[in-house]
Amino acid sequence: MASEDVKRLKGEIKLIVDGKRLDGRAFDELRPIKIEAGVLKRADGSCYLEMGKNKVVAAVYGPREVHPRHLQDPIKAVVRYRYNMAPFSVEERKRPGPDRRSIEISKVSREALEAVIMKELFPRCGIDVFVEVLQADAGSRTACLNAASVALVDAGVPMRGMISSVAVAKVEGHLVLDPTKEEDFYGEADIPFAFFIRNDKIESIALLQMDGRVTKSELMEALQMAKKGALEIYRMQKEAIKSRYIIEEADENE
Amino acid sequence: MFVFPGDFLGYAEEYVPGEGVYEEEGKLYAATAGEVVVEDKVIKVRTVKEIPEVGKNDIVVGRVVDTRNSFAMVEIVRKKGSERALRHYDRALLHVSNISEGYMKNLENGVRYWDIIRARVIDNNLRLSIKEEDMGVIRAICRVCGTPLVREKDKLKCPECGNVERRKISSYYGSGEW
Repeated sequence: MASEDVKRLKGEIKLIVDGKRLDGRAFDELRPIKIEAGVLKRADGSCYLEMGKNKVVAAVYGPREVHPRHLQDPIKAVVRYRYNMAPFSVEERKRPGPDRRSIEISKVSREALEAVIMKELFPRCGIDVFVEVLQADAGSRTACLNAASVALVDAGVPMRGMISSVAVAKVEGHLVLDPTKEEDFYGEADIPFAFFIRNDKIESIALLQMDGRVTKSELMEALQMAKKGALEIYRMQKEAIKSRYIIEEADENE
Repeated sequence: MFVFPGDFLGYAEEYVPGEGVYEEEGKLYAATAGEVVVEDKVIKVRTVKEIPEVGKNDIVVGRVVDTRNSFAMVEIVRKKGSERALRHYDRALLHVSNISEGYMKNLENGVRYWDIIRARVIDNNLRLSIKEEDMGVIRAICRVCGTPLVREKDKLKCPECGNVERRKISSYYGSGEW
């Protein structure tokens, strides 16, 4: 890795060649996405999602009784979200268990989902969302949020709308949608977004993080790019739910 | 029509929001994915996966977690026809008068602590009845040694210590089904 850093600083590694990215995508193009809902039998709702090289699986349990009891809220449900990376999900084996990064991701993702889940309908209950990263590339938190959103719909949990999430990075002075690992590593900035989408329109921002350096106008431009990407993802999320539902319909008719 | 959470369904003046529909600023939106049904101005979304809620006449299975002189408290775990945890959980009440058709003076002749029972919900305040033939205890343990009891005609017998106990036995007793 270190020698690659040196090479990049010397300008020997280029992330953008002839206006194209390393994997041949345009600046505002998403990585290939595959979404499948209802993949786990024991979970109330689940989703398997691939976003580029990211492979994640989300499971939703609940609304169910909360243990320990002191975590219960007498007027609304508690939402718990766990982002976890499998030891084999990254190039160098990750020590299992939560770390600072995954705790933070869990927190911000939970807050994003809390914006859409109608918690007031389930007093004293808990809604647990578990997302496991089986293979990680850049933007695994956005992949996880997209998967969690589909899994929640699959579980039939009432929501005000859906969450779609995508990141924008700044690479060699260009803003690029849905960065890959190289772009994230060697780029100048990484900005994950999540949007609350209702009725095919973006209502509000549910998650916004940024690290790196961007100008004010670049941030605004990144937001526009992310919105466009998120709506595309939203369409795929809906498609995933629809296809699962239609298969079930066919089963019932047999 | 198949809708997704957040899909606009109409205005609050047009319909009465039913299950799976919520109102915000005079507009109605779907809260869950599913098929839209309109009946007598009530608009609902028939969800993909329902979250079970117990109401009157539902058959439930639960465990007796507390017994008093005239009633037992039952923790309901599942509703018949659903594999999923209930939307709301609470202790249900089983009164002696709802244990058998005849007169039962002592509750302990009907149900005991830690019994698993199959019961019918008789009102919306989570009151139970096990008067019917197929309702009642479906699994019980010996109060002497804790071994699961085996049915012997209308009594329950402990295979370990030979202790015999009386219960309001369900026809499902020991079958593993309910």
